[in-house]
Amino acid sequence: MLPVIIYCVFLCICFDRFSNWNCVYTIFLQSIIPTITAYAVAYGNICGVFDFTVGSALIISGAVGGLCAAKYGMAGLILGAFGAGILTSVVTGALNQILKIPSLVLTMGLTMIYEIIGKQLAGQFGFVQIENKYAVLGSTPYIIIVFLASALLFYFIFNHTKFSFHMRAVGSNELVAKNAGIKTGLVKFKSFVYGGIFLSVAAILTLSQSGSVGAQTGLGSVTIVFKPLISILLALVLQRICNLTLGIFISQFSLNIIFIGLIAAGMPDTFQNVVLGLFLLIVMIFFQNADRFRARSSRLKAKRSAGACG
Amino acid sequence: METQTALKKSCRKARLKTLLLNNFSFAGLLLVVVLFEILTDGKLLGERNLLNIFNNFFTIGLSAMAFTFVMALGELDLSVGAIVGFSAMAGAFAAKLSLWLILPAALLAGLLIGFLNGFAIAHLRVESFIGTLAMSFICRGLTTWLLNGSVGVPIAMRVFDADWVKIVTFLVLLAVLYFLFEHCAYGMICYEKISSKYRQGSDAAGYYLLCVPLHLL
Repeated sequence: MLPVIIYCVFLCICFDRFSNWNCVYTIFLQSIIPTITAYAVAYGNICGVFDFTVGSALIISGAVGGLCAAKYGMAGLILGAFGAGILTSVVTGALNQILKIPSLVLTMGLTMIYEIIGKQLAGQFGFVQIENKYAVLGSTPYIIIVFLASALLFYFIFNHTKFSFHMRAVGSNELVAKNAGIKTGLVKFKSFVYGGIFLSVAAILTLSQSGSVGAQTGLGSVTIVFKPLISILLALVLQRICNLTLGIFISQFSLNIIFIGLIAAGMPDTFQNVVLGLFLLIVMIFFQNADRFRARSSRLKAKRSAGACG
Repeated sequence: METQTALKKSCRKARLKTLLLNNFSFAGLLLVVVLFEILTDGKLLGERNLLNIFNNFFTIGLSAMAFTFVMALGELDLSVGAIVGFSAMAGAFAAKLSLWLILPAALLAGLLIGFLNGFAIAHLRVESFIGTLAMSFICRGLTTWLLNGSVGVPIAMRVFDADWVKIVTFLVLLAVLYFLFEHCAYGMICYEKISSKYRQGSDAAGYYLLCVPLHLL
């Protein structure tokens, strides 16, 4: 219901722009890549590790895919992006296991290194382009097919594998999980690798949809992680009602409605950040204090009924 | 006799190992300094270069001092940079009216954000990672929106950019925060909290209020 309510609000504000299916379809298409990126971030997030390298790994994956596409065509694009994306995730996961330093610190450091690698790959112009004929995956219906396949894969890994149960156990209490016989290091490593698969898909779609992928430096790629992260947090709130796979998409879709709605309502695009932050804060306050609100409303009801009796 | 000597040797080894492990980061830093001092033919520790390095890390250093409290509490604050920007903007707008208003305006702006952070985390039970991430988005958005590019500040404000002002400010705050962290009940509570793992949320609110004035500088 969340996206429907938000959509209705913006339908009332700017009826002309929101009163057609084309608008919904555009928002849906725009939500695909952030949703897949959120799938990549979700494994680490549920597992209790911070991974800020996702954005920079996505850039490396896209850049390698683009460079391989120029030499080996479509196969090069897919294999190059997957190879680079998974390799960076394996390196991050392995270093996380070997070095035993907080993932927050490690991934921040690695992000800077990956950004430099991405910059080197992107060459003097700072971006890698692909020819139009290799960009078919970014157009419909292929992008929708890829999205559905990714969502199914995410759903399967997240709900029907032994890893998913181990991951939740590690995320809720690592020490207890370790004492229960779970190889916590291996679970964390796997969470990085599974994330790598989805970030490679996101990189291919980004490259196919926009035709190019640009390098970022000075921790600029970290911002790529934030919006998917917010959709995960919202999806965790929605988890009581719907599955995380769908919840992430619904959250991302709702966020995109807000962004597009704000622009349609004539607000400057810089205002998006304010609304995004407020939206996240309000949802989290309601989520964390639901028991308090319920207790307060029941107290009020009891008072009212006592007053009515008196 | 031989056993005693062997025991003494192993004790000394263990002590040396502990000393090295405890001061590993300092040893690394020292190594980097020595390496670059050699590579730059002694220019690294020159007066001019040291001042440049100080100017580069002045803001980060002040924020890091405040951040120590939150790290000691076992929490995260992703809004540090955004609060610095927001308070600087408030100070810059106030400077257009009067130079005397810069500090109160920046302090009030920082205190307000700090209070909101503290209230959301300690009272409304929002996780610090999420709460401060949201706050950083709000502050960054508001700063960009209100500034609409940039804002010109009076040339008289350059007085605050003098090296001696920065050095004195930095040293005074370092001394105050060191005292607060090491020798005051509040600092000890913060430090103790990470080991005893979260006693009361109200300490977090205190931190956020405390650290905010530092962001302003």
